[in-house]
Amino acid sequence: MGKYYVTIRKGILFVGFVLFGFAANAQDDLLAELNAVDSNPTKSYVFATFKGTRVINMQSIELPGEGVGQFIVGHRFGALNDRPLYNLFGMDIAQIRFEYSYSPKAWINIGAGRSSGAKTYDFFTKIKLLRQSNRSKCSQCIDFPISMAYYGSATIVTTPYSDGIDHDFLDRMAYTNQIIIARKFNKNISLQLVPTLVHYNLVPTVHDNNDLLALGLGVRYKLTNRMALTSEIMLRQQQPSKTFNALSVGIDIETGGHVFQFHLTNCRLMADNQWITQNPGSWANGDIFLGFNISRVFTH
Amino acid sequence: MKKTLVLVLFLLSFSSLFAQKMLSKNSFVHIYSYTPIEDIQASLNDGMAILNIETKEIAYILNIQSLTFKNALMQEHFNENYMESEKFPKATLNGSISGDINFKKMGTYTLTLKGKMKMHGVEQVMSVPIELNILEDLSVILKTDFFVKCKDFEIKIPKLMFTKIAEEIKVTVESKFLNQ
Repeated sequence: MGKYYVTIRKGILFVGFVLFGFAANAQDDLLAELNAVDSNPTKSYVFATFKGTRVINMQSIELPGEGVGQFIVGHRFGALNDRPLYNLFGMDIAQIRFEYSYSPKAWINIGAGRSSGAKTYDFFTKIKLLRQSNRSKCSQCIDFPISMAYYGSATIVTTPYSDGIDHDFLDRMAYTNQIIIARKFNKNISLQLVPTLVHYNLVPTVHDNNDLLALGLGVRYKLTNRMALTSEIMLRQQQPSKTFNALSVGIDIETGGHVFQFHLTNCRLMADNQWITQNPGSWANGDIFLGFNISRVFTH
Repeated sequence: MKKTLVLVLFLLSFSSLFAQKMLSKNSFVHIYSYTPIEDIQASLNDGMAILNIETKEIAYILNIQSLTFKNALMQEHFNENYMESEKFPKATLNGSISGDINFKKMGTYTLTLKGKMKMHGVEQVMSVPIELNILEDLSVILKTDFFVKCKDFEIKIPKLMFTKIAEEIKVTVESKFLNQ
């Protein structure tokens, strides 16, 4: 009997220890316990790789959110070196582009725009293909190191021909296809590579190619929470004479519903195929243009 | 026999421990900023909460990025520039309820929850009024609303935005705690 008593007492002591241990834990670590239960298998996607849907002239990896419409006004003033005082540093001569786009889903954006100059209409779509993610919590998730999107646009030039030959409507059209590959390296630095193919239905001479390849490079560096430096260049495989690679530097300023983008560029053209392949401006020759894009989003 | 007794006691101790904690995996949280120019609101419904009915302690964990705004760009600004949710992904609350509650019986209580709230990397002591509803199946519904000052959590609002973003944000919480 005595032996039994001792063992039972030991048992009770043991249970008491366990209870005490648990109680002590419960007091301190309710939050830790909840943390352990908090196993929502969430993917943690990277956001705000770029601030605007354009870096400057180039499309960025970003799309307006689902159900969001976006209106952008792009403005490029005249050359800074073109009789600067007479033309007030180009303020008197402006090229303008309007565009409106809408995202029916978070991954697709469709829109249309019109650019002055060659009086060009365009229709475009951007489709998100991959999203970069970081340290996702679920065990089955694979974190992609990059985001990817497709961008395509068709442009229609509406200025009259001066060559006296009959033209088909399709002669006025050109197409731009781009794959945007972007990575946000950290809070401050984002980079994107944009392989580009431009196709012209009609080219001026037999020596001109209908298909032109280019590689775009865009970068964003955040200076403060609401301001970032941006830069972009479009490197073309072929360099037709009297045209130059478009190179721009700019500043993004974010204020709630707007994104303001101010920049200096050697390219006043804004319609896709034109700024990529037909840019007549050169930094070296002093063809530097001040410009801005202002975007406003609307929820429908 | 003694071994069985120990085992039974051991298991009993576990079951009682487990029974005293209730979980809420779908807590609803709504934030609301009112200014004469613009109303801004966002909500989530995957908040995690745990309630220890023995000690009346309570803890919350919220994923900041779960807060959904109507305007996606606004949500991006909120995460990128205000809450810095890549750096501080979670908001937590750890506190205890003062006052007598009988969790074994249907009833309604108006009480105070005191504890520490942490978000944007800053911890603040909070005291908020709560309403507890114990339902027929002994599940517990907790409701509260209170104001949080952006300044207290070092969330900076640029001067340009003062007219659009309130300095005090109204937070509404509703949780249903279930027995495990």
